Amino acid sequence: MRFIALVKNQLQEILGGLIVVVIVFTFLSGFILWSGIRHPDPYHYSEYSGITPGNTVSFYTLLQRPKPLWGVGPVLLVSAVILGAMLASQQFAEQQKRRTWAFTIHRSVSRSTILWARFSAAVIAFILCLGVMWTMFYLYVSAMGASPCPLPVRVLIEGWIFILLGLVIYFGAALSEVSAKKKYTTKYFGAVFAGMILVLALVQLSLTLCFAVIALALVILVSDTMDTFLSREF
Amino acid sequence: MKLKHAIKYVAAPSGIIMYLTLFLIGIIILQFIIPGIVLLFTPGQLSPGLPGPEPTEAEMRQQRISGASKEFLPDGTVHLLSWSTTEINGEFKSERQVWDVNDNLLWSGEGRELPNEYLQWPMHEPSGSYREDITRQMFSPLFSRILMVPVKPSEEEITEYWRYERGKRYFVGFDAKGRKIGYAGSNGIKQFSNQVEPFGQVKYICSWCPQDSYSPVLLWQTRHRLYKIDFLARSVEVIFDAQQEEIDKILMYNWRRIESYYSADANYSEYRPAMRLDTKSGDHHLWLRDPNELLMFRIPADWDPERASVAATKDKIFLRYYGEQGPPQPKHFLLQDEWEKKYRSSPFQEWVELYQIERTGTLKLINRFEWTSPPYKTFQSGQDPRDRYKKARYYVKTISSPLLDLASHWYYNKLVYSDREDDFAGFIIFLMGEGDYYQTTNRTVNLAVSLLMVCLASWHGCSRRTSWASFVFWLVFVGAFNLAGLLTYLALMHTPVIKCHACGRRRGLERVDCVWCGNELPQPERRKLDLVFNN
Repeated sequence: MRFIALVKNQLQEILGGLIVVVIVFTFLSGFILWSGIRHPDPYHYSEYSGITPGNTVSFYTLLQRPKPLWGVGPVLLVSAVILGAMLASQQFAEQQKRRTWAFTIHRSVSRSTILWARFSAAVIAFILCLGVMWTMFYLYVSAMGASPCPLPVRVLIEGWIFILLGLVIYFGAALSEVSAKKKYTTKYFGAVFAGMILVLALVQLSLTLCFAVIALALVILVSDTMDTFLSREF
Repeated sequence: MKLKHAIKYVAAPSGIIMYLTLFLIGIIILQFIIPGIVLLFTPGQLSPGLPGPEPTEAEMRQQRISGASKEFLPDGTVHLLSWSTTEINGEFKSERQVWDVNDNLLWSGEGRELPNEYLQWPMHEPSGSYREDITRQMFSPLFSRILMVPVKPSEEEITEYWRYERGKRYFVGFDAKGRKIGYAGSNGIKQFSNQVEPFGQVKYICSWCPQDSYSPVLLWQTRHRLYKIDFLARSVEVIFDAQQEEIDKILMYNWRRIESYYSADANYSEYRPAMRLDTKSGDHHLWLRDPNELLMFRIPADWDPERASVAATKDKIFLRYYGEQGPPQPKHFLLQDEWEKKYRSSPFQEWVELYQIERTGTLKLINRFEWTSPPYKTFQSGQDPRDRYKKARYYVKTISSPLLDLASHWYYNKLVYSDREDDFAGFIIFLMGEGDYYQTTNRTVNLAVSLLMVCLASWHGCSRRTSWASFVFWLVFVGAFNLAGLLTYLALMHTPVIKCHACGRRRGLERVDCVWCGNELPQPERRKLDLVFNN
């Protein structure tokens, strides 16, 4: 019960930021989708226009982005990164700045419960804010036949990978914030590492490898954050 | 076990991986940046060396013969074709020159007015894509791409899309309204997914539009088969089946009749479209069209198959082979310098041979021309503009991780001798071979610097050690990862030290007893109020 109460409390504290992210993401993505769907024939005269009799067809002409959803990808990734950084800032940096950690951890719950409540609130925020919206966009585009042929499930999975990357950024930023190291030494290594994972995950040649990279990063960041938080003196 | 203690077992290796990765990447980036900065800001040294002596008449002749293109007339006569530039009233004019093999000038004039029609050797480089581009795509924020082949009965109409399912290795067809219309696999186009058989792992794809169509036709090569897929005609045709053998390479000669790719003066309509399929066992299959014909030929075992070109006229099939003295250039960069010094530092022999491929697959020599080529131009020490870069890299590479170097070297070896021809493999091979990343590594100095790092870690950690096992682990770790290892060690293991009250030597605070004398930390003196606090 205490855990659930803590999660609720965390969600209440970050609610303002979540609403802003949802509105911005929905508005931008909706606009991109709307402008993509407005053109009734997104394929015929653009990418496939180079196909003419007697000519070689460049292989990249046949490799198509999943229109009209592809424009939402960058918005989703940037939103996930911003949400991750914002959540870490609200949950950890603010408290660090106000020097209220001692007050928070003296409550009748363990430190690990406090930390897990924050992590859980962050995960719920990602799912509610971006995950649900992204899945709805995908289902909407698939259902209304805006794409020349049904979109493969891989597109949906890749969108969720972007959301997971936002979560990696969140844990990286959280680790940096709870670290007691000096700013000019290794304090921000967590955030830098998360940034590196973001790039590394996107250049992977298969989804399996991408998931493996993200899973490894999450294990590293979560365990380091917990270890640092549980052993730190506030 | 409490969570706090349990998490330590995961957090300790996690921290090591994180710090080590970041330090390694940082050092590698610096190793690329520093030599570049040195190259930019070190003045002098780039001035060209003294001009060499004027070439003699014989050397000029040798250079001209070596640089000329060797062309065959259909009867096998060899002519040497070169360009000559002359200055007339301040204007430069280029003209084509035709020489015979005895170095007699036969003709000179405009390139388009060549008096003879030589055998043409159509482009034979495959212009498709390899499997890595298709099955293992990188994805970007714009999502990964989907292989979709449209069916276009006319320029402005698309009636079907055929989407390749990477996992299932077959195509799924959709009509313009997005409804499934069928599946295309190795056994043709079927209505239901359980009827279709997968193509097998794709190795190479090439696509083009026939002269009278807007719908792409695909050449789809798997390990043992080559398919021609025409979605407009609803056909999946097996062009070639190597049975148990593996197809190594496909080369096309005038196969697609795409005149725009060839030089304007080439008359390719005189040639039959031909496709060469090389198998890993060394067989060469030739598939000819107009009319359809399949024949197999073999080339001598010491030939490099990529130096052989095929031209099929209406009457005969020719094969041209360029040979050169000595063994072929090794793929591995470490062996290339030695090969150049051994076989290309003095004039060497080259030759071109013209064969006729008989219907039985045997090769009949028609003519051969041999000439002497000048040695490869090599820079003297200090003249090569890359010297400064190499020197700077020599110094910065001394802080590389020996373990990572060995791993990278192993990976490079694996890539160089593998069949991978994708962009990623090319980039790695360039970076580590041609990009000089490895050539300037001095292994001895590198290991000496590693040892120095181990000494520093040992000096730092001796008084801070908590156990011998941990201490030895860190020394081995620093030895394996050099500077990155030392920085990781310092980031994770640095703790303050105090002077031991018993022996006076410096000791860490991570354990209760002194690492030198075994005495515990002194208890603070009991004060008057302690009794109150303790109770």
